[in-house]
Amino acid sequence: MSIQEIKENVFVTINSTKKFKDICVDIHFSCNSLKHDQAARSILASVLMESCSRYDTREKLLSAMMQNYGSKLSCSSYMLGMMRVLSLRTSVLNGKYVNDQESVYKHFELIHEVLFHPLWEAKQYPEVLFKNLKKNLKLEIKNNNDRPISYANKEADKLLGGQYAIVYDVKVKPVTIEQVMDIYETILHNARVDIVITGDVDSSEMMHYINQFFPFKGRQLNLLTRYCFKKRLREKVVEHKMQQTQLQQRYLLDKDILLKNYEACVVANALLGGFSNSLLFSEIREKRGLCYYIYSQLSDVNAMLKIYTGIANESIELVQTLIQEQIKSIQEGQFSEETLNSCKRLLINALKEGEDSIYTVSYRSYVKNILKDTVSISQRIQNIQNVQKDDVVFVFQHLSLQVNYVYKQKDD
Amino acid sequence: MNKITYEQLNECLCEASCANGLKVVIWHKPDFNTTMCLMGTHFGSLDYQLKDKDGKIHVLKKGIAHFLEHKMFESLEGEDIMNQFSQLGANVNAFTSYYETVYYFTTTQSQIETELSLLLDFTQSLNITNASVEKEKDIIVQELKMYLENADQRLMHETYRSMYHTFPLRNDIGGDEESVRSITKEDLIWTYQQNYHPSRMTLVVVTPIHPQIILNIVEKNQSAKSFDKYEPVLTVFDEEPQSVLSKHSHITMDVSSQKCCIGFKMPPLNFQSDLEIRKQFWIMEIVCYGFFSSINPLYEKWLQSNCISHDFSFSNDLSCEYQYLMLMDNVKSFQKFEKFVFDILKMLKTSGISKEIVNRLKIKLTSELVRIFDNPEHLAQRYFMNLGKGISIIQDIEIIKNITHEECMNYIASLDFENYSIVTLSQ
Repeated sequence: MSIQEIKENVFVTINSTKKFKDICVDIHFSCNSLKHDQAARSILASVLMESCSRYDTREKLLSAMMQNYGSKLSCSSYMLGMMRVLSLRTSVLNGKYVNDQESVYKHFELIHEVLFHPLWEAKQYPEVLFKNLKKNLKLEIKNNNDRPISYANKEADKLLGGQYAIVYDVKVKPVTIEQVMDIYETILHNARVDIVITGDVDSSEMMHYINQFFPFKGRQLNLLTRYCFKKRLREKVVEHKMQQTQLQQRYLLDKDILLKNYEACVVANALLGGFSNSLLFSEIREKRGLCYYIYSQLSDVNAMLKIYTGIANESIELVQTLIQEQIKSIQEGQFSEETLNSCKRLLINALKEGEDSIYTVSYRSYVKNILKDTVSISQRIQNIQNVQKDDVVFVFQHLSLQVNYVYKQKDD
Repeated sequence: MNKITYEQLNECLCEASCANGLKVVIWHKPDFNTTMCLMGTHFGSLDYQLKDKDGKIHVLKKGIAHFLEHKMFESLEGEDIMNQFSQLGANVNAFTSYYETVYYFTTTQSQIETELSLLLDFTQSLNITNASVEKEKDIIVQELKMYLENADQRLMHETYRSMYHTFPLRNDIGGDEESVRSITKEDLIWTYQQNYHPSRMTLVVVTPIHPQIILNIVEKNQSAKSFDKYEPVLTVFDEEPQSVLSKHSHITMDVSSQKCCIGFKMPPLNFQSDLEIRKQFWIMEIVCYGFFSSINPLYEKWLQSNCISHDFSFSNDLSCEYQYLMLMDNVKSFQKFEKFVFDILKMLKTSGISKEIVNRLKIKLTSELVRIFDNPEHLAQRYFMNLGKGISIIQDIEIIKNITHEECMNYIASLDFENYSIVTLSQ
């Protein structure tokens, strides 16, 4: 892996590997903003994927992508710690598998058109199309709200609060095309840019394409990355007519402890609920048959751990008690070395397996760069191997419950 | 061991068969860290009526293939198989579909004899008790409830139920709460005996490890076991009328947007060879993507004139037993959507799809197939599923290459939209 800062705050990472038939070209724009403009950012992602000056309809853009050996383009806007990120993730088949040496060149050309020549170049954007994109976003929000798991997840995240919330209530109606264009200009000229290329590529050829097709200028910014929520317990129960109750919890870890003991936190989460041999799964599903799924997930940029499960109404209190008991047993070191070691092995396995996925390799590069993480995969594996029982106990002693959200099945 | 090299794709496949009939397929990928081992049987939820050698027909309980998948993870000593894999640092999983049940693990260890032997052992023995069967029922019921929360899934499922009188597509893969609660230990043992004999199973391995090493592990493991003589059972279906069971049905669910699905039940294919059936499958894919997706120039107009929403989608499949097309959307007016669907189907029959669209879709579908080789998990799963259809991924690429615009137009001309069910979903 080679990383270069080609202009101020414009970074290029090339992961050259012969493993894959695909070539990934991803561009991530990261910046800080306190504006509640998530709807406009999401619409911007849709605008870029819809059409551009050269391919002025969705059909024409899709046709160009298909013609070039199924070039794939997707764009998303999301929060990562204190950052607002717009990620353009793309891939194209390596020409040598389809007898077309031009496929990568044509793919860069296509990304260039999409990114640098949006349809509003003539200072106008079709009103009907914009209305439709807003309608689409509203529909997407409605659909997500209709899925109890997504809804409960969003509501629990919302309860975390804070200036840099993970989710906001998205208000689509007031968004204007001017607002979307402003965000686009800000991102293009002021956000940090990370270009990540992964696949069987020649680095100098890639640098040539980057210079030709991605003419980003240098930009000054002092990017803030990690964000910690203020500690304050929030509990909420909401009833809804559905088949199953959703239980979502959020816990906070101490940020400094997490930074100094990252691998211990990762192992502690794995032990609690990262895998099917973890304490939550073993105790609540396997031993007692109270749920089909129960997992925990660590978000290191927010020093936060989430637990989620779908259960029957009558087991709410029992499951909450059992979760507390599993956490307590980690805090008190009441777990076997055998379980600890198997969690470590599974984590190491997942790290190594990730190296076999072009999308994981590419995204990991971005996250490592942006968080200034200099630990290599092999060093990370070594660090995980070195985590001891006491380390896990120590980091979990600083775990505190922040959100307890119950999306409860309404009795008929 | 039979070795096949696909030079342009830079891929190598080795095939062998054990004395007990177990088929072994190894994709050798020396550049990868991951080994993916999949053990599968072509026994899924559609296999609900099995005819034995005496001609007796056994009707299985709904959801039994899926229930069996859950119970296979129990060892003789009562220890959970998942835990044993976890202790080895390997991830294990399983799934049941309409056509198959598969068990697989992934690992990055350079020696996998213990893991591979464990996979072979737990899929070749069933160790259950009445108590463990009873406990599993609560877990499966929670799983079924999780799926029932998904409005789109419920809409599709209800459309199958409306279209088919007896054909098992109408049953959910996991069954329903009543059928799950009625399954007994004896039901599971009988079903296991009929469908998990080595001669009905295939092991697919994608690995950086030398194929001969893998084959040696498998042969050592298999030669130490003995299996009863196997009398194959045959899946049989009741005769399914051409008409639909119900023209209209409605689901009430606490959701904010109302939905509609129109399912067209079409006659099953009359082809004999796997190759012909598969070609027809890909032609159907091209026609559906070419007409019902945003690659169709008309699609944008449909969107802008509010005939469809961005959620408009289709689902289709065909075989010797069935052929269907479903069109669904979030709708404001059920009647308007119904009218729109019949209007565009008329349009499809009169104008078809263009040669350019067919060619673009051939390129897209081919590149999607080539991409499968980048992912060991997808490769093993897709290879196994294809095996059930009698066609390899490489043959799929060849089939797509040879599809002509004329064949697509002939297929469109043959489409019969007479029999349909309309299913609506709202609060």
